[in-house]
Amino acid sequence: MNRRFAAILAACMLSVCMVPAAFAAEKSLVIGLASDALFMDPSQQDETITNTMGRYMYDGLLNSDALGLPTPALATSWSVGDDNLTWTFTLRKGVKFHDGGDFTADDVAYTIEVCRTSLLKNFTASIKEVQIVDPHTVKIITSVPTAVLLESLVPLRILPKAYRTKVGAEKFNQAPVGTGPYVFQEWIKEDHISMKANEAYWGGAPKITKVTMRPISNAATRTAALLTGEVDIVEDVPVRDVDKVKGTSGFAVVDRPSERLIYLHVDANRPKGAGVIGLDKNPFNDIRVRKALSLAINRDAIVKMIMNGNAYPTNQLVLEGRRGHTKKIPAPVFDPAEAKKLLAEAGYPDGFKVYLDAPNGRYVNDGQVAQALASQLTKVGIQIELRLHPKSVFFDFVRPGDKSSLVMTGWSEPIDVGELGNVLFYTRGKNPAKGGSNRGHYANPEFDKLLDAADATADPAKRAGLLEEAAALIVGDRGVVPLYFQQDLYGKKANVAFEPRADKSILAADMDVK
Amino acid sequence: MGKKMNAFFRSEFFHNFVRSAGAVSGLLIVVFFLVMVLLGPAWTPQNPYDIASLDLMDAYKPPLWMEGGDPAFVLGTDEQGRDLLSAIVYGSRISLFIGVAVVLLSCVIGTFFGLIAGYFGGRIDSILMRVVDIQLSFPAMLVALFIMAAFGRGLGKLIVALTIVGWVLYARTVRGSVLVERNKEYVDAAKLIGLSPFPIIVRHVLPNVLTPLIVIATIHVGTVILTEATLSYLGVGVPVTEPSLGLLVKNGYDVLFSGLWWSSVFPGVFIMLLVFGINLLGDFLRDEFNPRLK
Repeated sequence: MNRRFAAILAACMLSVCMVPAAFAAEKSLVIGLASDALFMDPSQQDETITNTMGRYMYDGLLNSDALGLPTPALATSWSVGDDNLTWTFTLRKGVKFHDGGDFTADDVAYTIEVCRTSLLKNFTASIKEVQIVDPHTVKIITSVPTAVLLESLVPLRILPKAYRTKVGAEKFNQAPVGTGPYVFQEWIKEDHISMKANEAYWGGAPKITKVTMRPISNAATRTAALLTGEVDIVEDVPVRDVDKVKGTSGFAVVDRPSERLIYLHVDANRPKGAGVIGLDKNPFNDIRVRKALSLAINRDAIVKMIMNGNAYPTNQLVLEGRRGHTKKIPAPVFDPAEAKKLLAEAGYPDGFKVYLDAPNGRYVNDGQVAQALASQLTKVGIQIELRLHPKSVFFDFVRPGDKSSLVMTGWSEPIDVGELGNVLFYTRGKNPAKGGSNRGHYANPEFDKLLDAADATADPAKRAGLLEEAAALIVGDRGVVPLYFQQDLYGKKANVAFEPRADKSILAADMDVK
Repeated sequence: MGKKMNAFFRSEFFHNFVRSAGAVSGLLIVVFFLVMVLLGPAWTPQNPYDIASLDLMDAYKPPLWMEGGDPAFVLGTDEQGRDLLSAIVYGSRISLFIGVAVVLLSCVIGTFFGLIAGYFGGRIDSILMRVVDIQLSFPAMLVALFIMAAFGRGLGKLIVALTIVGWVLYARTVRGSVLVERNKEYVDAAKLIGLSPFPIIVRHVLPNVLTPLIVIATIHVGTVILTEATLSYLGVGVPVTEPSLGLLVKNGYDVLFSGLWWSSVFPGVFIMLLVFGINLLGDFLRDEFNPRLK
């Protein structure tokens, strides 16, 4: 009895001592986002803001760095067995969930089980079995060698098995609990989410103690909210507001290359061009025509004039540092004279007519970019009839089928060229899991072979080599014509220290307010 | 002809016209626009609808008198490197063409139904006027927006949509006038000598209801041009590669606050001028032809 009393007394004294200290260090941050999170439970959907919440309140076995490369988190180390299928993960000890429960291997197995049946099931598809060796060791066995296993473990944010099974999935989404750097406080839908720092975080307590996220869907309103001081940092500053924010003292704009590549999908393969006007054949079958296509485009002018400089002309498929970005692909060249010559050589001295299908309002200034492309291509003889589609019907229209031969569109690739190629450029019909969005009907057995080989290895370095080859092959073949990477733009108060991330999450745990 | 002209110059109408500053300036503005658009392709430095003639590197050049202005682009350029002056001339052409085409079509359709409804009365009248009532109970812009959203962009579609919205005005007005006219003695006389309804309507009633039509039609041209501009501004009007004045304003609006004011202000000024001129004329005609003001 005495000992218990002493403990309570000690606790009281401690808290009395700590309160003023905590009070002095109170730092808060209000974040203006383009939309609200769909869920607080990160296992329910793969969506940007929901994923961001997953970063605040939860950890994965692995987290990811600013570029998106996996880093140790709840797993401190791992190894692959000789069979290339069995991965052994050593778990971090002494980690507690926000409700006080211990984090163990049970939670890992539980999380993977939950995600198998949720909208995150594509990340668990390669996992055959999870074996709990001891409370701090798990074995994950894949059905085939999987080089992207680490990347696909990042979105699986670890759920507290005991708590979530006790309260049920519905209630858990309203009062979530994780191991992450922030603790959930309140979520008023479409108004705000508030969180406070997890002082006991295994990675060290965050410097910012209180975070509020506010969804502000209208871009101009978001900029205004920043400039009036209502919020401290906003995402997706409109290109036209950049100069205004930069010009206001006490505010700054930060940017980084976005994962989103804008590119042309060319129908290089089929004998008849669905979008070609007045010809009974498909001029894009000829590589000289496809080369002319790329040569005719002045990417620098598009970026400078239409994007106000806020984009990065490229010939690559993924950002630098990711697998498949390669020096083997030369920088894009603008040479309309050479383009005309190639067209003439291919038998089109007077050019030909073709539809260009592009979205209007899906990507930054996409309609204007499409107009500029139409003008530049028409000048060399690829006479463009522009079809701009509202974003609600665009993807339906350009679904692989018989409507278009030339599509301007975008793709956000979080992992590597292998994942991108499997969806966008793998021959249709060969493998039901691949080539689903191959809008250009690209078909190149050599390319498919490289992707299959990359998927059959568990060694990331070997995979990187294969993917570099694949990327160089398809860009060299002009099966795809990359245009530029978009730029992510953030507006912030000057006293906020912030480094943007490739996944667009604004993570208060990595930030500070001066 | 000479005699008629002479009579016209000595008429009260002409007398009032030359003494009305508003009417004369309205006419001058409209004539200015007509000359500009009719001669347009002959003198504009660029064909803004020929996408191959545009150079992106010319984008957002300021007007001639500002620093960085280019003599080739007197009013500056827009985001695609279009010469604004040329774009405005071509855009005004589209605006005026749509205005006149829609008014003619609406006028013919509306007058036809108005004459029938007014002259025959009874069930035909009830049905036609209920249709008109229903349509008038929706804002014209809403109906046009709905039609355009359903059918997509295009000049022809725009004309059809605006005609569908516009004919009810004429039907309603003509019917009203016909109701008054059909009980007059000259109509009874025509019936007595055995004329069938059709010649009576066309040769005797129609000329007597033309006056209010002229007034409505003039003002309607201005309304149609504004509606077209609004629809294009909202992104459901003309195709993006063939901008009208409204679409030019919209494109320029995106960069208005970044200091590139000219690409939305100039087209806006031209819309305003054109509609202003037409309305001045329309006002004068309304005052002239309104028997209550005599």
